[in-house]
Amino acid sequence: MSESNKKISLISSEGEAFEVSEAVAREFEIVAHMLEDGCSGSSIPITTVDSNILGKVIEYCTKHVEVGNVEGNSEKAEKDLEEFDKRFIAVEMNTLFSLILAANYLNVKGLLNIGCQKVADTIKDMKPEEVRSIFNIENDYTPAEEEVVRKENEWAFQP
Amino acid sequence: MDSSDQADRISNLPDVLLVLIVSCLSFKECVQTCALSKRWRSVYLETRNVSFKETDFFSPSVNANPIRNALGRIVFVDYVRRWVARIHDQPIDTFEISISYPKTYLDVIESLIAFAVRKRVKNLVLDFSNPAWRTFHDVNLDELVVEIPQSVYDLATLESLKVGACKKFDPAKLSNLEKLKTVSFGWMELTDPEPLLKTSRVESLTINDCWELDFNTIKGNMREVAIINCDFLLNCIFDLPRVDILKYSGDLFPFEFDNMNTIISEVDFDFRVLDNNNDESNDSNAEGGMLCHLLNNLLDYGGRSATTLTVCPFLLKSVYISTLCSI
Repeated sequence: MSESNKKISLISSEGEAFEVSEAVAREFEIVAHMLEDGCSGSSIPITTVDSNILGKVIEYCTKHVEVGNVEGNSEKAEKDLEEFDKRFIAVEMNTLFSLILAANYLNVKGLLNIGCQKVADTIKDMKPEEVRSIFNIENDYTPAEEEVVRKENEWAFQP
Repeated sequence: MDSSDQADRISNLPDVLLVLIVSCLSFKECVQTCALSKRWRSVYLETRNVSFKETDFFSPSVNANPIRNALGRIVFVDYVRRWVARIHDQPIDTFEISISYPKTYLDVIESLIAFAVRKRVKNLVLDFSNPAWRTFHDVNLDELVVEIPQSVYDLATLESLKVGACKKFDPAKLSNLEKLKTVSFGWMELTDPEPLLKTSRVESLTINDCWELDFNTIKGNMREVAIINCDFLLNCIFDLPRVDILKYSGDLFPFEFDNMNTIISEVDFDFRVLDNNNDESNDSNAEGGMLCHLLNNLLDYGGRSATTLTVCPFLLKSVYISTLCSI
């Protein structure tokens, strides 16, 4: 029990400190590993993540730790969490990619999953041309090369 | 304004993240990403969710030229073989093979099942039914040739399993799979799934177009149960204390409800099969009485409720006919 009261500071790339409970910090698997490896310092630098994104990841983890601690009606809690996830991940593309990269680096699996799912939801039901324009993907195939690639997987391009 | 608005951030993600993203797409959509740019040339091959459906490659309709169908199947099987041969260390979560007339390709199918078992997949679909079948009366028993090997019954990683048109399939043999949550059985003779439903943690059960069902209770802690166009030999008692979604379509036959959940979110009854003989015979009355009994029994004479109750027109018509005399 004493562990949950312990505070840890996470330092963003700009040097800003975010104070969180150890339980929340442990949601970052990378931090959990550091703590287990005996890194006992109370502040941990997260040099690759800026304040804006780090704040968001902490918000995500805090919510998930809170809900995880509530006992009783687990079905309702699960639904609430789903709603929270849905709202949380409804961000513009640049933030979404920053969140995915941060979740991957910090190893926050739940956030990584909903982030990737969100990108996939944007791609689905779209033609390759449309996907390219949404994500600014430059088509570096020559027409002949693209024809070959499509031919190899012809079935997938049939209506 | 911001230069990052114009950047191709998605293609700059590391491979491992692109693989996670394409794995969230349907298999067909995942394969389509190969055309985006050279960066995406081979990402799709690493997807964790592989689903080979014959109907994605060609439409094997009854009217189509059988030679065309056979050629389509050759192209399909060749594609599947090449795909699987390329895979070495990468993990696979979902594997599906759906192909009709499996007789010609028994050896390939056997090796694909072995592949899925080796990969310790979580979700497995083995479907050998024929899209031309409309009801189980159309099934030619000679076409049920694939036998599920013991290795599948023992595959402890399985979370969902769909089996269609296999030979001598025995759901009871799945009883030891602790992670199994979703099962779907179709187009076969089916032996009693009770040992499976009793011991496992199955939450969703679907049985479609099965026949010779010689068991008379469907009992367990499932949240979702769907029985679609099946042929029961006897009457059937539903004993589903945790059920949240219940769907039944097919013949009207005597069934009873035992220990049902107090509130069921969704109940869907469709007696479409019967509706085919559209004549207003005297039987309608008897059927209507049976339906009223069934609904009252389900709703426990006011003791239970369903949030959504969807019924077919036939049911309404019959209930109307017999309303005056029975409710």
